[in-house]
Amino acid sequence: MTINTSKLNAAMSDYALPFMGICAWLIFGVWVSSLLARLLYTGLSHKLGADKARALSKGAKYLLIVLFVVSLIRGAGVDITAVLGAAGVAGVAIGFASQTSLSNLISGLFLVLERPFKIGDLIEVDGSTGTVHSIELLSTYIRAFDNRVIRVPNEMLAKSKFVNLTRYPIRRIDLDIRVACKEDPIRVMTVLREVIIANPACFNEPEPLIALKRLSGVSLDFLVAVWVDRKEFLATRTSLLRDIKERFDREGISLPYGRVVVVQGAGESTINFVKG
Amino acid sequence: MQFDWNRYTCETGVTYACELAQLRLWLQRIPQGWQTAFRHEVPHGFAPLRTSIPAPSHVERRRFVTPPDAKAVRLVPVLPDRSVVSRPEERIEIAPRHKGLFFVTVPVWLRVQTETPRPIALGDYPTALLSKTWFGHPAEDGEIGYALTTRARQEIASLTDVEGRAICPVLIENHTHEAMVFAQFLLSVRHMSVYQTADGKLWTNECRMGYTGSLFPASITFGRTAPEQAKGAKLLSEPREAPSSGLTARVIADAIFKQPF
Repeated sequence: MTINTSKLNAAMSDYALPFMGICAWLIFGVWVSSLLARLLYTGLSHKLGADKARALSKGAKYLLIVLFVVSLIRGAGVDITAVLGAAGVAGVAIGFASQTSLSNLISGLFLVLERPFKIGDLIEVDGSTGTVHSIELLSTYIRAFDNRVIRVPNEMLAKSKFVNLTRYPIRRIDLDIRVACKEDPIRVMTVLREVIIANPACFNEPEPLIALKRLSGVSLDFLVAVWVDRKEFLATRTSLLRDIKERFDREGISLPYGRVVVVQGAGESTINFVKG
Repeated sequence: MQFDWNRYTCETGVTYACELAQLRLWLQRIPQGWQTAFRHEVPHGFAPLRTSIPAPSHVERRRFVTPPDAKAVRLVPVLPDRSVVSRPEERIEIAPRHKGLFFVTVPVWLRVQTETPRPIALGDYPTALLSKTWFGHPAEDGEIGYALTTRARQEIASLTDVEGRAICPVLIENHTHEAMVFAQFLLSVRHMSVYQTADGKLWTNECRMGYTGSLFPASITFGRTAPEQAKGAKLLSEPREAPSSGLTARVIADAIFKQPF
């Protein structure tokens, strides 16, 4: 078998070399776009915040890639208006087929512009709680406390209710404290106030609130509302509950016992569970 | 007993301890550096650094690796790491175009630093546990600070119990044509230095707050030297953060925020 080198050379110059040139230009275009997007992110993240800077840099990256592809098509001698016309028709078809993705994309843009939360915030959405890890074009990634990553479509965040737990630097701890109904409510409130004052993590201002919420046959129910630094929320809540328990034990203030009502025919009798 | 802000040379393996208000601090030179241990306790005490039995096992400890020439330490008073909030005993009204001078005492923190050409900090230790507080409305901009347990006074003679505290002169100027009423003010102590007079009292540089109306932030300036009430005082520590010129902030508040229900 003989190889016609002149035909091979012609084929190389006709197809292979232009193809390699296209590939090189495409790789160069993607590399330049990524580099510029990274520079844009670095430059903007301090001024606009990480989430806005990320969205803008990603948008710029995809725009640059599109421009590179268009220049490539023009360079190859293809009539760009015909391509754009075809792309328009294709765009309508793709748009119908990918309504959810587009909805997520637009919702993502609104999330970035409206900024109901930012990267690093602690949010509660659809029964899950975690830190916002990243806000992408189609979805938001949340890192749960147990290190699971939860992907939430942006459309869902735009439509449904979510709670931002770290919007403000301070938060209020609400504790429901129940004591036995035989206790003196004034004394209990005084003890609760002393426990709060003794805990340096509890804010003086806004002033703590101690209110008698409910009287029942079993217990006196108090609401204890204390403002704290959001970063110390859980630690302060734990220390407050521990301090209240210790102080109640020292003061002889008893908690309400569990109670079961046993119905016997027409009458009824009550069994009280005794502690210990 | 007056606390001695001084330089101390320590032997390796020997435990030293000092007391300053609620703070009890243990210090030990270890083969490659230093180890500290501390706890807060009541009642208050004041005792300079001296040899001691080792710290109890349950107290918080920190270990520092330092150059071998760090054989001595210096105990330095510094101001807290957050702003402090002072509430005078009653609301105060300053007449239009008038000013008032107040004295606030701020518990100092104890900084342990190595006595080397470039001092290495071995930790800042609060000498009093102050409650935190929020200065501002909970849903608006504000600042977390420490609530002072002492009140703003207008005469130096009325300041008692200044041991372990730095006296801070605060000049509040009402630049408006209306009376200025306030219930509390915020003091950015991270911008302040600590000085000591010959009688052992600690002072900070003067803080001036210029009130230009409730809608505008107040201008804040800090004196560059010891205040005139503490002439000849020597500088013990620099501010944590150098104050910038043209500083403005909401530092004077009329109302104390209550729970919304």
